[in-house]
Amino acid sequence: MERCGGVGGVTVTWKDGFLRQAKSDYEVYCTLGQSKVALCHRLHYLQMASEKLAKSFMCQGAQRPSKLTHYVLLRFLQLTRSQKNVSRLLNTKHSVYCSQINSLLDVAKRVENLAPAGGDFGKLNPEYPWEDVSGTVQTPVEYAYSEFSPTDLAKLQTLISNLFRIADKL
Amino acid sequence: MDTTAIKTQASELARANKQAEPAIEKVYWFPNDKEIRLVELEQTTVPALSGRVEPFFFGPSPKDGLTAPSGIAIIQTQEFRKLELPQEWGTWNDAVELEV
Repeated sequence: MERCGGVGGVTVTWKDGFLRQAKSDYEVYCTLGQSKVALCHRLHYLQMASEKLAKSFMCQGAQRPSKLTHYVLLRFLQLTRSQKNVSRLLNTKHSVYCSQINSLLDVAKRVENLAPAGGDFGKLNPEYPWEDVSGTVQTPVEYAYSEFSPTDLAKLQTLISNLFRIADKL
Repeated sequence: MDTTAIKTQASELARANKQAEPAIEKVYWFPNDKEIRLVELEQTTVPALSGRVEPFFFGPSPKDGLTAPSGIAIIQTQEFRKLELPQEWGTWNDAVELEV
């Protein structure tokens, strides 16, 4: 099994590395939520945290996901619906868990789509200015991101938090 | 583990995925005696920019009838037989279509 570097003699697998970094990104997301920083920064960290969480499940031994692959959250959440241990570990009826996932697939796809698109300046994102369909240059720090309802984001946040809690057992 | 037992669990997992996601068109199993390996075809999923089939891996869950770990990938229908498979999964000719 390939090992990454480690701190203090502790070796880390690719899976561990992605999961640890995902958790740290998520902590920043939560910390930003308690401040007055622009929503773009929170969304950026939510996208990064959720992408790395999903990618941790794409690691096996020396195998790790391609850097080209950003759109992974949706598929990861879809596949957790068939893993009954997920709902069991969350103390939730499986049918309830599946319904919850289904209700969040749309916002999950929107978060997933915030990922960088290799120089595409026509794409809504939380990091760089982009040109919208009307030809107007939008700046993330000033954009309202009304595409993301606070309620849906809160529900997705709860789901992501729960998945972090049980990730080591899956 | 017996490959037949793996196939039984693979079929159960495939059916569970299909039930959760009706848009899945076909599911292919790559026989292995240690791990459930599935590739699911779903037209609405994102294209594989890496040119590779990239599975998500889950551990065994004996309490839920899954005694083997699993690796499951979702690809677009037209990517079937075109993407590079994970190392040790064999070739596309090894894929067995499961009834879902």
